[in-house]
Amino acid sequence: MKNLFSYILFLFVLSTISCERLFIDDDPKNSPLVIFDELWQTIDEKYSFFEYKEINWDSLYVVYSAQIDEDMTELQLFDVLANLLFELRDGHVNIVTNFNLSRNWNWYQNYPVNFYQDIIDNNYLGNDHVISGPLRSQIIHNIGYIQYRSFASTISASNIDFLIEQMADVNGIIIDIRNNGGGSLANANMLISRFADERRLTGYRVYKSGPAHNEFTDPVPIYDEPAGPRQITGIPVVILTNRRAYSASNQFVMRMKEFPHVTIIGDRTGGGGGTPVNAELPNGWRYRFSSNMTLDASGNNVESGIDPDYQRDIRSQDYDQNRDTIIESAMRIIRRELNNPND
Amino acid sequence: MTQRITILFTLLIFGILPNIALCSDASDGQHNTRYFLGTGIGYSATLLHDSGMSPLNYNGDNLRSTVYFLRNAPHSVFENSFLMDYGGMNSRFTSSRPVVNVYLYNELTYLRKLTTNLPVDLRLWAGASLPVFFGSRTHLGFVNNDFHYDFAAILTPRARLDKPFTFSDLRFTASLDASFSLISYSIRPSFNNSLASGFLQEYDSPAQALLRSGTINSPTNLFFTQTVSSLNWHLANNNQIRLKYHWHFYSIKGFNDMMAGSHSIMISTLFSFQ
Repeated sequence: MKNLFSYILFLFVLSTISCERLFIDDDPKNSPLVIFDELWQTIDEKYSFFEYKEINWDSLYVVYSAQIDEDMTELQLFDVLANLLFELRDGHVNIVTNFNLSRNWNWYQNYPVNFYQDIIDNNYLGNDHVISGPLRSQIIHNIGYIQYRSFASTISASNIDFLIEQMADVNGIIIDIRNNGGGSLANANMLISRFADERRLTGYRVYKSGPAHNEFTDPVPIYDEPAGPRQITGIPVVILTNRRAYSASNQFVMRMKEFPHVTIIGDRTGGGGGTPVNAELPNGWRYRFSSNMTLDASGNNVESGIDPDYQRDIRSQDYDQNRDTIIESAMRIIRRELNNPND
Repeated sequence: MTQRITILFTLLIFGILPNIALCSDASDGQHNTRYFLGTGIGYSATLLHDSGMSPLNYNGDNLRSTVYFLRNAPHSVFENSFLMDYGGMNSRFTSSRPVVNVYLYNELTYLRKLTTNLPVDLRLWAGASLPVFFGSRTHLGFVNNDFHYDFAAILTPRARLDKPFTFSDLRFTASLDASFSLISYSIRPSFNNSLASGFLQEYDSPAQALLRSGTINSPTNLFFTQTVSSLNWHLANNNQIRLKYHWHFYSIKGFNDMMAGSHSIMISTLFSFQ
């Protein structure tokens, strides 16, 4: 009996060693077709804009899988995958390798630049401008000008609250987010809270809830409300945009335009209404793609951008005179609103 | 498949075991009820596959620490053990441990001694455990969906076979535990997001959103099993030193399947108080 028990005990213990490997499959095969299928399948189930952009993802499988060859090189495979993802027309979709980054930058490359930092530095910010964290500011003819180049740069509460105190007596504020390619929504939240007059519905997020192209949650409302010791609400606030204002900048514009004292001037934003999430392929490459949708307060999808209240491009004659047409337009609008507040 | 059935059947023998043969209600010779508080430290190795994070398997080493409360009575055992793993994980393509693994586990166990016709120095116990765990993986190379996790509370039948013995005038007890899941409650991230599903709609409070995110599972949806082999050295002052080998595995089915297994070895000190 003792020998039998010992034998059973030994077998039992032996069976538990590395036991989980019986349940957990090996990594997927590192072959071009397996990698292609993994990418196509994950995007098929989790990408959020197929219906909005009218993309026939199934037909693209046929087109691009035909280009996959089990003997192809890494560079060749990357090119096929990059071309597949290019079809999504989305700046939030990239494959990252140690030798290249796939991208689609058509959302700004085919449009006027509308932004010249040297003109801004020489004629608007000047040498004595204030640098508060990532915010560069100057008071010009009693109008506060704030430039924020990237939402990836963290704004602290002290940065923005200092500026608000500095600009307590100005006639209006210009927030320049041209060429701001996005970053962290936490920074957008911080900035919006200092310009919010009251709690308002400023948009919606819609999340993928299942693998079908049309499987989404109900829209989840986004609210913005004042926070911090002081807000700027009683004077005109003008936000400057161009095609390179993307992602978090796009959402910043979407939410700020719901406040009555805010006006948008410049060019349509570049868009980017989906929150990018990351994933991996069986060969270790990483990629990202849009995982949800953002709607403005009226229910419009902001993936392809937001039109300004006033469309302005930098005119060549202004450029030749080192003037920024869009900043000048913003100042005129502020002065006009001050003189005729009911217009 | 055959191997899996064999392993499950072997676990079943030690898991849910009716009274094999009740012949006498012999005393095992243990005396009074004893209480213990213990702490321990050790090493664990984890292998996991989280489909919501990556198609690749991740594995890594962890530092494990634990605290115990134990009540040993002549015919029953009650134990509350808490452990924590912390470490980094790699896929086969990384070496910088881009995934930070944190695993918190608390288990309540109650066992009663069964009367059997096994040799008198072998003791069979049966009862139940309630493991509750929170496993998290933070992928440092990801943005917006870097945080992946599982939470589960599981009801498991549990059995223990132990054998006190002496060696060189030192008293030891060797024991072998096994358990597997019956019914459970779990929370996982939503389909395409680090947020749990209850947070993807309007909610009155985070607690409400969290409760709305959970699911009740049968063993086919959430499968959990563990075996524990331990050797206790009974010191003259009634304290104990325990060497323990613990293996556990769990899988959670859903939109994004999750499977994880870990092996650990730990040394603990159990301090007796009455």
